[in-house]
Amino acid sequence: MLNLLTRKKKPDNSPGAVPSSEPSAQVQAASLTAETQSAAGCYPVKVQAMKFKFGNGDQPLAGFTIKRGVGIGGFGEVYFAVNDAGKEVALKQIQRNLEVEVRGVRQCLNLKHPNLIGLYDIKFDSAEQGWIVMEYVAGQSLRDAIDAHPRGMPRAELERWFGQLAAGVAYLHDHGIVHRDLKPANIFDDSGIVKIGDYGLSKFISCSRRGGQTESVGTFHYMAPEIGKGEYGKEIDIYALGVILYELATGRVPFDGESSQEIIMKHLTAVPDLSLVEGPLREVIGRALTKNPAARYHDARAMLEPLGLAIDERYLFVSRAASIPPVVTHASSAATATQPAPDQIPDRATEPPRSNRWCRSRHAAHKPEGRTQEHFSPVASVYYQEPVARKIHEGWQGLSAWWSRLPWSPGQKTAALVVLIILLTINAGTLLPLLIVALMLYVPYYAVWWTLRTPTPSARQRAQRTARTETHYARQQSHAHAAADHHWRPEAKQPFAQGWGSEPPANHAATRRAAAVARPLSFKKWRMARRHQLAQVPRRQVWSEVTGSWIGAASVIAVFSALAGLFQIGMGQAVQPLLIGTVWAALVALSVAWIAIGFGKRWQREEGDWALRAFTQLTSGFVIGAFAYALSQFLMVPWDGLARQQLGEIPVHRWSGFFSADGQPLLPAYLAYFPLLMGMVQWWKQVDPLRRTRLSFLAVLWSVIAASLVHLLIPFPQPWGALIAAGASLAIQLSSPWINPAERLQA
Amino acid sequence: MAITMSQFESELANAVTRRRILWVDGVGGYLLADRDEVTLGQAVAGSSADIGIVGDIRRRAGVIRRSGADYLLQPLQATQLNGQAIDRAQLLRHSDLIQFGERVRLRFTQPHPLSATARLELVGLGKFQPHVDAVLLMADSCLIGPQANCHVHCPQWDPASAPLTLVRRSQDWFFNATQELLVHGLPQRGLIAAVPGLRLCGADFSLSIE
Repeated sequence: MLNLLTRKKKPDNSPGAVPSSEPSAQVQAASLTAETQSAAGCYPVKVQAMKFKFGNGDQPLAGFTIKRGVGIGGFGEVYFAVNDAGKEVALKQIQRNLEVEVRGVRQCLNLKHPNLIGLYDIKFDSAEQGWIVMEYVAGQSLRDAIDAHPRGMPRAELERWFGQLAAGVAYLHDHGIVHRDLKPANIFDDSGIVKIGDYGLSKFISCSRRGGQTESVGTFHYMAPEIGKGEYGKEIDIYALGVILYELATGRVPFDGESSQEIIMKHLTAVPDLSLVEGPLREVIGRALTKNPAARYHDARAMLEPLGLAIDERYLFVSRAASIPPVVTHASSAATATQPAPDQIPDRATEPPRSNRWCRSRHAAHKPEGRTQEHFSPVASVYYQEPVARKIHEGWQGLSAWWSRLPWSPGQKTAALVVLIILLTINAGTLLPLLIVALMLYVPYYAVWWTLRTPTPSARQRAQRTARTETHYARQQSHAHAAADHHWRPEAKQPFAQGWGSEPPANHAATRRAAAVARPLSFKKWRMARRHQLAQVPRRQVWSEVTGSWIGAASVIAVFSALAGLFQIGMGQAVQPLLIGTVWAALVALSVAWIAIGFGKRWQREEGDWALRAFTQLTSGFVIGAFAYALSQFLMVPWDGLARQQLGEIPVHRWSGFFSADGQPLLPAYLAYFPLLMGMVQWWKQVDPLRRTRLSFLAVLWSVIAASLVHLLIPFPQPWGALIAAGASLAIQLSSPWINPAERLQA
Repeated sequence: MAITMSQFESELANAVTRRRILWVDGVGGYLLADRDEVTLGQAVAGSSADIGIVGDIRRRAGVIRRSGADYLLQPLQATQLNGQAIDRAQLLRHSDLIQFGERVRLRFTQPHPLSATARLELVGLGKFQPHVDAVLLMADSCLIGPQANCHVHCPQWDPASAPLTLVRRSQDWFFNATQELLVHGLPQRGLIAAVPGLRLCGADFSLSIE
């Protein structure tokens, strides 16, 4: 036994105490008064725990660079550090620097067990401050793990922690060492291997490792009653193991109280409440928590046996769990019955399987049922067979899902609703007639639709078809719902469709077949995924696409301008000025298209910032304007023969800076018109390979409208401005590569 | 105009190539990745991966790309998302489990609903190189505090205190100190640049930037 300390009953101790040469000045002193007093001194109400003397980059000990502080205990601070070669270690300050402390650690320096934190070395810095160099464990502590399971751990987890913990303790005991400070905060998880820390030092530790108030009181939670009498046998470790086992199973300690005094009183007198624990655990905990140390288990091994666990001759934990029957409560079996198979549920929906628990659960099994029902409800919308009503219903569902997912506070949402209601009320005068007109249109439409769909001689076929589309629709609905539920998984099988009732059995087969198909992506998600792939396309390939599109745009414009010219000639108008005008407009439209394609392809890598892109395009408009001006000078475009009567413009055209006396546009007019046109239209959306359709007439129309808007300000001779916009839009869309979004439905 | 664009981009590239680690004493180490696109891969000498992992995976195992508040995972090797093999880019959701190869598993979380910043943690085997507890994919803000929805959850801090925030201001990161903090021992409040070598002490905590 390692028994280096002579214990005296001396209650004067506080954490910052001047290093005392008297080794007996320890908190774990014998009397209860000493305990409480030291507690008052040791655990200040104000938590000062996580401030460290050294920070990143400091080298208090030659050869080691501090990364960060890990924890603070009564023995000093613990740091994560890296030595010059790159070895990761934990550095622990030996605060009081006592000869006995160092001797205690030295005694343990060569212990070797997978469940003990390895001690590497003891070193002294220039100020003769002692440091323990030891294994660094990055994982969480048992404290964190218990906190994560406030109602007790699943059985497998409990066995893993407790089995390995007992293995480490058995190894220590068999080497004559009593840990004396076993508690969850001293036990760590290193990628599944349980590691016990603070052995060897423990008898000197006055404060908890974490120093936080809750935790510091917790120190008393694991103290065997005989510690008050100054007995430090290995039975105190068995007692602590019993407390930890209780906490693992229930999430709480057996003896708790407001003050350390109350807790200690309970350790001395109270009987633990074992009604929360079942099966063999109850007996094991009951015996480990016996007040009389002699009546407890004498060995950590003996605690494992009734649990179906064991430690082999190499002190390694082995599980024999198969030999004992699982303890299943009625509630938990009900829970498993209502839950779909685990592989069908997205992760977050999965509750930890209750059957794995030894601890009785009060709220067992209600949640999974509620969840299942939740997934059935949206199927009701299937009864909207009429397409318009269904679309409205779908839209409304989408809207409400969007609204509920909106990351606004309830206050913001209420405010938005109030504003919306006010707006609706103000505009009721216009909205109500519109609504009435819509209803007046819809009622006859519905009547016609209804008569057309009433069963005819081939009604059975049609009914089947309807049923199938309904099934399909139900599937989409549950998809939408699952997605709304934050569980979007691309290839997941659809688990809920089979629950949809009220169909003849034949349709169940159809449903199942349908359910086996991968779920189609929404357009937005498809676009996101595709956009990401576009970002990976090498520059060279993008460049070759750009040149291809340029050639395509040129040919499209050539065809259209040839057609336009032919028509004008056919209508018997003056030939020469028209031809010149057409050539000019075609070349300018081509320059617009080329520049738009160049930028658009460059920006196809991401959904970008609208303002910056519009501004960039606007700037490029100066180049186009200059080019258009130069070209018109070169071709000597006869504007007076071309310009139609100008309607509805602001009298800006009288500004002599823009137009000459005879109505000819001057350079400033070009330099103002084209930038505005380029800035108004989001050309890159027409270039984007992920646009909804290859050619959108709406986009062409918008380009023309934008040109007309600019025309209101700068009355550039029409119809040429609008023609240029329309031609460029057509050319861009026809020549830019397009990925058909329908592919997402095939997948 | 093209010149202006490339200037923008090169400025951007300059701003984001640095790698920083946030070391919160008593809590953990966090690699701050503030690019919109990060590559994950095996931690070997000369690796081009932004996030190195000591594990049996390829040098370039996958790319995570941020687009607005969304994250996309582009697999570059055999990859599973929540147990399903994937072969093309997928949207990542809060609490998704990414698995590269046979053994290396990562948990993706977005703890705070109002911040797009995400957190990557290794589950089970493997560790990050340099050895940090998690990687933070930094969007525009990052919360460090006692609340469970903070990106850096510090359970031991005074639960009543407001979280410390890291905010992005024109491509650089700053601590936004609402209370007086000690910067290298000197009291300071407001924006504090999160530059390497910074040592920050609050009422009950301390942290460093490497």
